Amino acid sequence: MPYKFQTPVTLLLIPVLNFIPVSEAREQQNIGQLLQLSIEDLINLPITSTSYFNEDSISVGSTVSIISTQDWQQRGARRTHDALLVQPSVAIFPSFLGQYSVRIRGFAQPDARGVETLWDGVPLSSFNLGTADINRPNIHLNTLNNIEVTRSPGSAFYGTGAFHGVVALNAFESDYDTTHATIGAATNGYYSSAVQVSRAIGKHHRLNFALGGNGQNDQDMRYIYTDPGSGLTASSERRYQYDTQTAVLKFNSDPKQDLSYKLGLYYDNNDQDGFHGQGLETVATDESEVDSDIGIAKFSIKQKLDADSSIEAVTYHWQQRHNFAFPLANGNNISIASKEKRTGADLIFRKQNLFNNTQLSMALGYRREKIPDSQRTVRNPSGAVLVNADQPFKGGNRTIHSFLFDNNTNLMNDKLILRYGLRYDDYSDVGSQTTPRLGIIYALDNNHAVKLLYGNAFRAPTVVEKTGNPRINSDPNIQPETIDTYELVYLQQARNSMTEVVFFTSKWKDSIIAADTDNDTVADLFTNSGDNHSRGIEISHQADINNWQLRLSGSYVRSKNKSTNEEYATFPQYIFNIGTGYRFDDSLSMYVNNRIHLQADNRPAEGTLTANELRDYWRTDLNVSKAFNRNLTLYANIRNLFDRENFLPSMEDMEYGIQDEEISFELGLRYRFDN
Amino acid sequence: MKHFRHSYLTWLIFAWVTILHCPSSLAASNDQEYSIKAAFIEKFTHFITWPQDKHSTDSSNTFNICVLGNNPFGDKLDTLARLTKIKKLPVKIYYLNHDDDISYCDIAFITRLPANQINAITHKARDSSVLTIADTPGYGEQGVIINFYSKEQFLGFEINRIESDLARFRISSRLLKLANIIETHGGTP
Repeated sequence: MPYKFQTPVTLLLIPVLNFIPVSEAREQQNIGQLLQLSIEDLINLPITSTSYFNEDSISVGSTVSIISTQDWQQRGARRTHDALLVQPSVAIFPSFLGQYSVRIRGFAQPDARGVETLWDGVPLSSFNLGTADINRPNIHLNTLNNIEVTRSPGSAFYGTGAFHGVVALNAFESDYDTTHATIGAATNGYYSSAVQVSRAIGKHHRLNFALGGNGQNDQDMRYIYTDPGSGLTASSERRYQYDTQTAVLKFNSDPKQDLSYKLGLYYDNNDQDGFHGQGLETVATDESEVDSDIGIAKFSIKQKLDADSSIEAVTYHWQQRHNFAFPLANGNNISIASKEKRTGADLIFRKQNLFNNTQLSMALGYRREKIPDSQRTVRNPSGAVLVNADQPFKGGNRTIHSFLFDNNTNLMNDKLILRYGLRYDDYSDVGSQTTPRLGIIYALDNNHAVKLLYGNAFRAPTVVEKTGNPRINSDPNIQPETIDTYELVYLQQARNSMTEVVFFTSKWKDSIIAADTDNDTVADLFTNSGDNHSRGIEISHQADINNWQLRLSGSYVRSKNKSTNEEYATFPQYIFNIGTGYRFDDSLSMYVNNRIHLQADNRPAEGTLTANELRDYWRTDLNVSKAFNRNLTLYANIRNLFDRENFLPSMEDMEYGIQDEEISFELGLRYRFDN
Repeated sequence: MKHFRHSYLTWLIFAWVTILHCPSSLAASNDQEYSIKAAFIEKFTHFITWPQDKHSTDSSNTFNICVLGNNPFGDKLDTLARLTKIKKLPVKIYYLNHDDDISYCDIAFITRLPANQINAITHKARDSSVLTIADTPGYGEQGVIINFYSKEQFLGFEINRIESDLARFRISSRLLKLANIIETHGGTP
């Protein structure tokens, strides 16, 4: 019998329906809440990741959402992907090498590529893996200011990688002197600590520093499988043990000066053991290990040319090391050790007021990426080395030169906004690519807008898809895949509420897949394969009403491979996020978040493997926060409050899916050292 | 589980759409910006000391916030006045024309107006120890004591130290640390 969700959902919606406020009450609530903030807290949340100009929700030319610190704290988020799980049509899929890969608007393929992760604007997606979800799954949330999620193609701005969307992690920085510390621990062995410091250096410089570490002990997460030898049901355990450290140091001059600059240094290390591995074929020991770190240096310098124009040079360099290990079907173990480098530079010209109604931005870009080393070692169960060889893509490199412009033109007294942009990329190995985007935004008034958005994106094959590996051959004629997305958006933004309704349709052409040869003696093949189609609706509504806080979103998404006519059925057709918060007084607040997935299959149906629908996913998390004074806040989280046995789809064909976490209770405190 | 309850889902979506189109959700018309500016105005008063003779010569026993010109706040300042006291005094809001007497105001929020008028107002405000606040580019240099501006992703403000000294305000270092300091004289009419 399916889980009885009707009654709880109804109960949750009753307060929603009852909270329709009168405007005066909303006004009082809004002003009242603002008056409770310190003067340092009276800041606006920015939207910065979809253009070179700051944007607000009405004028932004993409479906982008900001996830704030408060938002993920009140949901008890621990890892980066936890923080994202409040967006409509965004799901997290357990996939190869222990990753929880971000999927947007369907298209749940086993290869998790096409969502770009940016860390202060620096693209992190691996040239080798095509994603940052394996190497960088856990940039400590307490080293971030906020996260911006774009649920539509971003290649017209970011180039390859930003195919299905963008997750932009904006690292901590402050405009005033402050010191925050956070520490917490949970009953499942989870631990976390972090510190954020901002200090003025002289009259015109500022240093921002954030350091965080978290992890968890052995989870003994039981899973069941059908033993391939006996055909009987058997069980085993995964550890899901990890340890992560993140550090950010930023030094910047006063951005209000005509000449300003910013230096950033970033480091992240992730060491995880006993996460899910390959899937059914190696079930008895389906565990993987990932040990990866990255160091980034970024420097930007900006010169104001006159009152409304500027030129900025941005450059960055990163080096990444990653070691993976997982068992093979034959009982042997494989480990892969790789190094990767990327250097990028952009020269950006901005003009705020061209012809009095146009914001103009143009950029020239350069990017070079390289895999200087990658080695594969295969050992038998007793540890003897059977193979120790370079990967075929060792030494692989790519250079990209790009040009883009991205403009806004306001017409009809700012009622009509045209967003138009174009990006041209010239690749050293796959030729050139042009990606346009267009947005027509009609502001019905200051608070309502209708948008028609078009975005084109492309993704060049990764070095592995170009070169192949020992198990998957490459197609010498492989080409970039492309996607066209059309969105119709209605947005309502008021003092205490925001509502967005999005209808979207996407056509993904020449998708790059690892084609299964259905023959274990013949390697699979990376190749372009057919077209895919996705469509759906997203609704989100946020409101702060008297002492209540509502964060609601829902999506209905269908996507299919048009060539095979098979649906991407592992992506839930329905995703609901229902968050309800209540502030008892100035110091005590409570927040309950429900995340619900309906109608998702346990795994992709491929070849002889059949798929079955997973039981409905419903997780409830509870957060209680008590501020004892302006400096000290104590918080408690219960994740998976009802200890429900939830399963997520397995993209690597685990027949029962991958089990979500069990109940855990976390206690922690936040302390602000400021007066 | 294949037989999903579509009637239930329809109900859920219907409920949602009902919420989204509820008139009260759409009623609010002013944006968040002026709510935050209203809150800033209240916060400023915690960090600023008015000259002692300001309230001894003013027998109103209220803290008077005046808005000069077109009121951009809607009813936000009136709401503020209902919710809080400033300097232990009830708050009263006055909506004035640019050429009205402002000597009884403790704070005067000045909307955009011609340059010759701004000089006249800042001169009057200086003599009467009225804290002038605006949100127009360049007004800080023209003698307005606190001027809001959009600063990168945040709402920032600048403080004209010379004007604040001339009007005999004492401003806390905590507030000054958050501000962009202007040290130019606003001039006289």
